[in-house]
Order: sequence, then C-alpha cells, then structure tokens
Amino acid sequence: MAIDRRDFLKYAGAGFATTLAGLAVPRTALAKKGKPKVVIVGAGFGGATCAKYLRKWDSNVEVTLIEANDKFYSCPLSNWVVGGMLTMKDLTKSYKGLQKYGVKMVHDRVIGIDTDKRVLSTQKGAKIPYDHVVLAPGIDLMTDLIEGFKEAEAAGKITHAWKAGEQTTLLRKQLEAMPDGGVFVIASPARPQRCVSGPYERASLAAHYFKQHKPKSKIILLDADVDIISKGPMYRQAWKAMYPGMIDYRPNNRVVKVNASTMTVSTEFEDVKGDVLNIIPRGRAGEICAMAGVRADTAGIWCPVNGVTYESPKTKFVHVIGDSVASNMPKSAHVSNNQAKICAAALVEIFNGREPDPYPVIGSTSYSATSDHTSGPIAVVMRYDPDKEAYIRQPGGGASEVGDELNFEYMKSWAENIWADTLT
Amino acid sequence: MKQPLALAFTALLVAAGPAVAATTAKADKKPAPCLIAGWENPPSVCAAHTKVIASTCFICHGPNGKSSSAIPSLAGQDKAYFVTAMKEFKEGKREATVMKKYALGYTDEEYEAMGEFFAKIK
Repeated sequence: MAIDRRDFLKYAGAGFATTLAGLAVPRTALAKKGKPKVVIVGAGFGGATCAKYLRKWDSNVEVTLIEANDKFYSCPLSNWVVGGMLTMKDLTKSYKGLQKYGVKMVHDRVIGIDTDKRVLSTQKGAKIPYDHVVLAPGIDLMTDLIEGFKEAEAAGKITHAWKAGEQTTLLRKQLEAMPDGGVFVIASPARPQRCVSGPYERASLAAHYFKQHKPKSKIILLDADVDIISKGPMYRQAWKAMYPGMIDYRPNNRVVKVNASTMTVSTEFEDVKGDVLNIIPRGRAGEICAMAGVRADTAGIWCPVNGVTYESPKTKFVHVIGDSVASNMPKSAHVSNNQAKICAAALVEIFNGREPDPYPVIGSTSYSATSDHTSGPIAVVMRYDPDKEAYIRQPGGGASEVGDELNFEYMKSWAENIWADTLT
Repeated sequence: MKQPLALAFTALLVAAGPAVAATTAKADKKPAPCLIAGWENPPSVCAAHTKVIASTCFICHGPNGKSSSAIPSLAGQDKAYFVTAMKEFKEGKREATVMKKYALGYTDEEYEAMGEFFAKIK
C-alpha cells in the first residue's frame, strides 16, 4: 500500500520506524549494527555506478562488486563498431577507476543465492554473505524462442551482437566480408527490450557503411513491433535522405526460425535469405534474478521493484537495477546509471536510520546516430509517485525529428561522460 | 485529491549539505521541513533528493558536473545563472537540444537546489 503524504506526516511524529514500515522498507535493516555489507552482482552501467556511489556517499558501507568479465564493454556506441566508425577496443574500459572508492571487485560468476541465509555462491567456489544484494545482471537473450538460433550462433554463422563484445566484432567482420550487392538481414524483437532504438540505429550505420563501400547492397529490417516507436520520424527522414532504397523496413514480422546452412530467416509470414544475418532475440532479466525469486512479473520475464529502494517486493534484501527491472522506463545505460544512484542513496539513508527520498526522479537521455556525423536524442524525465507506485512521465519529453551534427558531438560527449561517471 | 501541504511555510528545499540527524528529533526540536514538489519533508530527505537529482546531471555533464568534452560543465557555475538558464529552457527562451525536455520535468525548488549544489563544486 502506498502511504499518503498526509498519513506520512501524521506518522512522522511517531518516529521513522513507522514511516519506513509504511514505505515497505524492511524494519530489520535499521536494527543492523556495524558496517552494512552490500554485494552487487554485475558491473555494467547499473552495478558499477551503484558500487561507486554507495562508497562515495557512505564510506562505512562495505561494497563487493562481482563481475565475470575482466573489462567493461560498452553497449552504447557499439553500433558504431558495426558501421566501422570505431572498434571494440575503443569501447573496452578498465574497472581500475573504482579502486579509489574502496569497492572490492571480484571477477567471478554468481551461480547461486540463498536469500534466507543471505549468501551468494560463485563458480570459483566462494561463499559471499550480504546484508543487501543488488542484482544488476543485464539481460539474458531468449534464444530458445527462435528455432535453430543456438546451433547457428555456435557455428559463428549468425550474431545477435546485443551484448557488446566478440559478437559485435564478428558482425563487423561479416559485413566487411559481404560482397557488394549482398543482403544484410536484421531482426528486431518486440518491446519491452534493451535499447529499443538500437536496431534502427544499427540499420542506419550499416547503410552508412554500404553507401560508401558496397552501394548495391540491401538491408532488410524485420521488426516484431508494429512500427519504429523510438525516434521513428528521425530514422525515416535519415533513410530517405541519405540511404534511399537501401533499407527495406518490414514491421509486424517476428522471426521464429533461422537456418544457417541456407542462410534463411523465417518469420510468421515469409522466408528471407541473407548474406549476413543479425538476429536479436527477446531479452529477459538475467538468470540470477530467477534464482533469487525476483523475476516475478506476470510473464516471469522482468523484475518488479519498489520505486524508492529498488528492492523486490518478492524477496527481502534483494534489490534489482538496470535492464532487468519491470517498468515503463527505457532499458538504457542512462536509466541504469540513474536507478543505481537512487538505489545507492536509499540504502545509505536506510543504513543511517533515515527515511529514503519518497519522490525519486529519473532522467533518461539516449542518442542514436544515423551516419558518421549525424545523431539525435530522445529525453524524458520520470517522477516517482508513491500513491500510484509508479514512475510518471513528465510532459515535454520526446525525440528529435532530425539528426544533426551538433547532436553527433553531444552523443560522443555523453558517452565519454557516462563512462567517466560510471567507472572513474 | 490530496493538496500540497503547508505552502504557507516559508521553508525552501534544502540543498545537499551535511546529513541532518532527524531520526530522533523531539517535537520541539524538529528541524524546519522542506518541500519537494510541494510536499513537506524532513531536511535529510531533501538533502538526499538533491544529491541524487544533481547526480543525474553527471550522466551527461560529467562526474561532479565536470565534462571532458562538448557538453558544458556545470561545476562552479553561478547559482543565479544556473536557475535562470533552467527557467529559460523551460519557457523556450533559450535554445536547447534536450534541456527544455529536462527543465519541464523539474520544479523551481529543484532548480534552486541543483544550482546551489553545482555552485559549491570547485
């Protein structure tokens, strides 16, 4: 139940324990003595930011950050690699900048969680206890939903390239090897998904590359969604002005099967042959969320959370941030970073016996490039309403209708600044 | 419908400063409340609120408002300049790419609190 502000003030006189109970913050959290121990699983934009700011805002909190990869790979700007404007090396960052905050970094993979005893177990055999755990695993791709995907992926014939890294580079190599006059097929899943604008940016930057080096080539964009919802006017304008006739956009076309030996993609309606196939399956909250019992929306795909603390209503002391969260917020690096700060600030308030901010505000900006010199942003502010228990989009948000050079500069600057804010 | 409480209070949103120990405040020693979007809150809540909304700015404008590239820095900006800029973005008097969209999402009290926050950063 959401607490009404009038009731809140009425209770406030009775002390914060009552207030906090009203805000669904575990009362036992307040009773904890000594140094609170927070373990964060996943060091992407959400997890790394949460670790940094917990330490920055309260050096009494012990923070352990568990991440399987030795380096940070940025998904933002990874379509620039696909378009040949950058390489993955440019998007590979060090975690060393977090050391100065006193974050304990552990390179390992979490394979189990006991939410009663509050202990995580890892692949290397470690048992890591926590007072609060913050899950920031990003997404898992539901490759099972597309017949033939796993075999084709294992054979290196197709990519999703929806997690920046080896597949991003592989996709780039496949495009480089493709003959002029070839067909590049991109399949985009339905929302909600990570980076809803990404597939259209990918088509734009591939077109940018083809225009210069393989002008007879075509791109077929199969979209499970009904339309380009994010930045649609900007993409349509760019495709018409810069890449006329190159991008064949086919909405309402969900991929169900891929055949790597014939390089054929089957949707519910048609079979499409391509020289390079980039199939992006639907995503869901990372597996650790299922283990913790918090991947608990009606479809069992995403994680509902309390909008003040990002704690799961299903499992106490388990918080979820980033792409795994079930919400109306965009699944973007910007939102993950912002949620991480809200969660960190709420935990600090709780550990110090104070009420967390009941009215957090999230800003989301995401830039998408349409060529090697044009880009456009979408921006929206969302404010948490404790009565509605939801983040409400504020009026005035929206996307640019035309990409331009100024926003291309801002996109680069945004990336530099969010990397610095997250990792240093 | 709930109504914003006690607008008669002259309390302003308190900018991030030293954390206020409000947990055991006695009735007669309660610190002055502050407002977030028209609602009264303990000063510690407003401090936490300001700290987080200011750190939202860091995402584009760089950690602590110190940008390394094309997007302008906010650190050390004059408070009055910051607040005026936000109001002009909101009213469309100052040209912007995304800042009008942001200005529309925050309140005047929040402009003040953020302006104070960034003015203090050296």
